[in-house]
Amino acid sequence: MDAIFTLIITSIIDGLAFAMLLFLIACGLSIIFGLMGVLNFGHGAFFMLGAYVAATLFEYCQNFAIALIGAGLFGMLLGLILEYSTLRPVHGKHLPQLLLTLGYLVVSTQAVLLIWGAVPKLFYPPGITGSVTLFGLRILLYRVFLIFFGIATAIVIYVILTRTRIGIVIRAGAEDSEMVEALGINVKRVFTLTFGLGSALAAIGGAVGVPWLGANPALGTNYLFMGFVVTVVGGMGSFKGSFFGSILVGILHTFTAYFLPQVTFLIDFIVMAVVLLVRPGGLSGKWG
Amino acid sequence: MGMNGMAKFSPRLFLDFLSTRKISLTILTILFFFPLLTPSRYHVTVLTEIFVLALFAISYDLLLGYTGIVSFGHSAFFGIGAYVFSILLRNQTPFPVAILATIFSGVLLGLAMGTFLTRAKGMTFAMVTISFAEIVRLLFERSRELTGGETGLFVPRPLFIKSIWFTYFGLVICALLIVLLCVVIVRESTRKDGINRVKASYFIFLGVFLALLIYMVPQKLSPLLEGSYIIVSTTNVYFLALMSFITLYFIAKRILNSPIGRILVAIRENEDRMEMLGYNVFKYKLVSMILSGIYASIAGALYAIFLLIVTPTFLEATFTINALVHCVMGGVGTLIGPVIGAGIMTIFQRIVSSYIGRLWMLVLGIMYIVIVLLLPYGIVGTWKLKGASVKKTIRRLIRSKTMFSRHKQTQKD
Repeated sequence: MDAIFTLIITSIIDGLAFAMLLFLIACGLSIIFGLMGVLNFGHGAFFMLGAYVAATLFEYCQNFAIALIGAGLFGMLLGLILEYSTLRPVHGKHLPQLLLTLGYLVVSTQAVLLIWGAVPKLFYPPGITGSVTLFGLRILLYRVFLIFFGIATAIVIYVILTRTRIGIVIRAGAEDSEMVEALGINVKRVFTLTFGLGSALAAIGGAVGVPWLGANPALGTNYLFMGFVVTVVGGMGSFKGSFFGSILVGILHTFTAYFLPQVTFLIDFIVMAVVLLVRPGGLSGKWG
Repeated sequence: MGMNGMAKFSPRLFLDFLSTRKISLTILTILFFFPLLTPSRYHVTVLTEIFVLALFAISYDLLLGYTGIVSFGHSAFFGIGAYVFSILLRNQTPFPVAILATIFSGVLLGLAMGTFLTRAKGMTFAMVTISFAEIVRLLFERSRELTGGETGLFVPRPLFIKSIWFTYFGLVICALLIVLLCVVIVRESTRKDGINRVKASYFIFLGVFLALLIYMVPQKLSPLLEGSYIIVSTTNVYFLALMSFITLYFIAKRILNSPIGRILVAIRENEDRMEMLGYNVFKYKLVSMILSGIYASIAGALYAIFLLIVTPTFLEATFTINALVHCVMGGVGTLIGPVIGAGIMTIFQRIVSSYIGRLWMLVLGIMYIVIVLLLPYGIVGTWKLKGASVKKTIRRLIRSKTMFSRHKQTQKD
């Protein structure tokens, strides 16, 4: 009985930590889709590149904060450049956008293989590695850090989206970008900025995930796939949906991994199918 | 009605049809003679692969280009077709039964995937199909007793592929095509409207082709007919892929020119309007899904015969993405576009990867970006948009040149 209780608590903590990683990748994916209508395959690339940049920075300066900020800045910069140079010319054409972002993913995966090789890179930030024992439970500190980090990021994004001018423009653009343009706002610039911010979030997600997942070339594809599941479950283009969707998917995923490891690969699809069956627009209820 | 139907198939009309389609007839003849023309077996296998991948790309285009459904689970059709076909062949099922079962599997999977269409639209559907295909892949990878797991299954070649009689059959078709081509040439040359430059260049091309045939065929024919098992079966697989490709290509063309095809295009253009007009949009989407599934599963079965092995890689998203790239490169919403795309990409891949090996993937990724930026409408689409003006420019250039030379001549005089 006690063992099962311990297992449940541990898997809840693990599930929430995993959910926060998912949130960091799915949030940008969802907002970019909502605003620009781009199914962004390149998002996985930013997640993976963020992990590698953070791992490399940590090797040089041994400072976790610098590694995180560096990865975020790198993601932002790369996102801005890619959006401005390649995505903007094909604005509004779904298929070219899709192929283009797929190109980002393939190129970056191969570039990572060339630069860093196939061996995963790991680092352990001092201070938040190790574990504490509470009421006879061994809790990994890093997972707890992830949960708090994720919630803090979510709050920051929520405040940006609801309390600042740019956030209001982003939300209005997701509703009707033509109308926003007609009101005299340069929507293209908002697109570029949103793409940059989303990419930065994904890169930070990758960077934060390194001590757990390790920076490896498969990161991009695997977590992009999870991000898609969360986006569909949460509802396309919805910030709240991506937050609660990632918690649902993260916890269910971890629970099945602990209790029914044979069906872990099925669970994401089952969650998606059930949510679509009950609420075709995802948790947030908008029809995608 | 009956008389009318008879009149449609009179030999004169058939020959007229061939005369208007003389370029297609020429290309068809060249393709059928290809195993006798090429110096190496390698080229034959490359072309076989192109036919199979082109078939798969066409099936993807039926969904993407003609109905406007973005699906990322298309490799599931391909892989399941390949697996059903090879498992049946391994259990000594005759070829026709196996291929029918493959088609049936395509229909079933199309129905299954079509049911998602009721709940998910647009990009949501794309995401759902990604994960559906991933599940199918993992299921096939895990059921080791049936599918052999990651190592996959060896595919026994069906009996007729090993037999020389199928080669004879292909050669008979070659001979028939040559006879038809000769008849068309005679008809064209005896027409009253005389010979213009285009016609003359066509005749010159045909002359060179026939000369090449007369030179090459005797050299190639005897090693083929007395040849080893490998040469015969390579040629037979080529003929099989070519015949399936041609047949299915024309069936697809026929279907897309029929009312159903028009309705599908209309759904792509404006789904809500079609619904308002009283069409059952879901039903037509399902038809498109099933049709596409049949084509993709046949392509999978052919690929299994071609490679002699099926592995879970058949079910990977790579195949879907390749088909997408073939469509986008050649031109979405055209039937010949995916074929051109498949041809160019396959040949390009073979050449480039023989030099740089694994770096090919990097080049491929860069190519995705370049294709999108340079050819947003694909080769055929760009040609349709710009072809007239290109032709006009060329004509103007030629005319200005001739005028220039004439001007010079008058000056000399």
